[in-house]
Amino acid sequence: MSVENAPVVDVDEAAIPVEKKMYYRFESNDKKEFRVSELAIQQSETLNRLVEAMGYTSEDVENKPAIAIENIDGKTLKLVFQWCEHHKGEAIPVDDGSVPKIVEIPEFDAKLMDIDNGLLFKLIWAADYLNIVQLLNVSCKKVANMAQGKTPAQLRRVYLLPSDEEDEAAKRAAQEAQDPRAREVEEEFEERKRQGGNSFF
Amino acid sequence: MGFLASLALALLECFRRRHSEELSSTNPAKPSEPKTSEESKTPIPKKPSTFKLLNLPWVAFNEVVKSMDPRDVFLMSLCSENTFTILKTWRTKVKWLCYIVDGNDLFVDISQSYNKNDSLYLAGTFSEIYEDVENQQQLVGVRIGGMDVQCL
Repeated sequence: MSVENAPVVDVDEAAIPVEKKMYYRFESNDKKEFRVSELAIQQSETLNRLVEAMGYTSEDVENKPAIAIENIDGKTLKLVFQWCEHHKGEAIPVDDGSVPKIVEIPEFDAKLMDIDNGLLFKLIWAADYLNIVQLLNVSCKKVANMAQGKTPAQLRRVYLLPSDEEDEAAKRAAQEAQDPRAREVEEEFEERKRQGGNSFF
Repeated sequence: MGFLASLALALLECFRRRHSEELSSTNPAKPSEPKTSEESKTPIPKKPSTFKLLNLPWVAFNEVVKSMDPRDVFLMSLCSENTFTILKTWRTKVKWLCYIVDGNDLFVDISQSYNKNDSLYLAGTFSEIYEDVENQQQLVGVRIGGMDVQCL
């Protein structure tokens, strides 16, 4: 049947139920508000469960105050929701247990994560807190890529890994902070040792 | 035998690259255009990019290590006793492992399979370590599998 001969059916557009897009309002700890679509929210297991438990209707969203996310700032939350909106409707990946994990960073994600490492740290923290699996995967892959082709000394500098001496000093400082008497006992012990005493007690 | 041949090729490639780099560095520079006032200013040293890996939440830290190449995980375990203790839980079976001992140096290459890219990686590693030795970096004693070894 040609296109010209196809039967024309009059459709009453008003009769078709138009699915209204549902949006939720979220507020960061620095009081910045974001409107995020329901589909985008599904990328975050934490937020998805939260909105399900709250059972908000469209009217509730407008009338009630925005849902506060207390421990994420506006700058980080903006990146998180940008990522969720771009990847809305995508399937949430399941860990197949392969090591090393094969993760490809899409172009959009690479551009989104072209940020300083302080913000990247916050983004990973937020992805972990909000349980956004794929965002956590790509952001962690970016951090893992920083190690490529580095020597142990370079890795120590890049990842700010303390040396054995620094670890020991930090441990000693923590012990002293916990028990101020420990230093006095140690000094007394050293003093007695200098005086030639064999026994401390 | 095939491995030795490809390793030799990789080493030759490595030295050829080094030689060509040396030649290019000794070439006289082209006459440059007069510098503008902005260009003549001393460049601001770029702050090295750092990331507080150990401050990440445990789940995120696990994800980072899972996404890392096993070679990098191994090298990170050499950074300190603390990193070794943390990463020893990440023991994973590898299909291809190559230890090369040269004097006080130990080179390790790990892979799930052997292919041409591995030998190229080896060449890159040799080149980097060779440069480090030239810069007279001190060797550091570490323990691997209960044995004391020296590493850069």
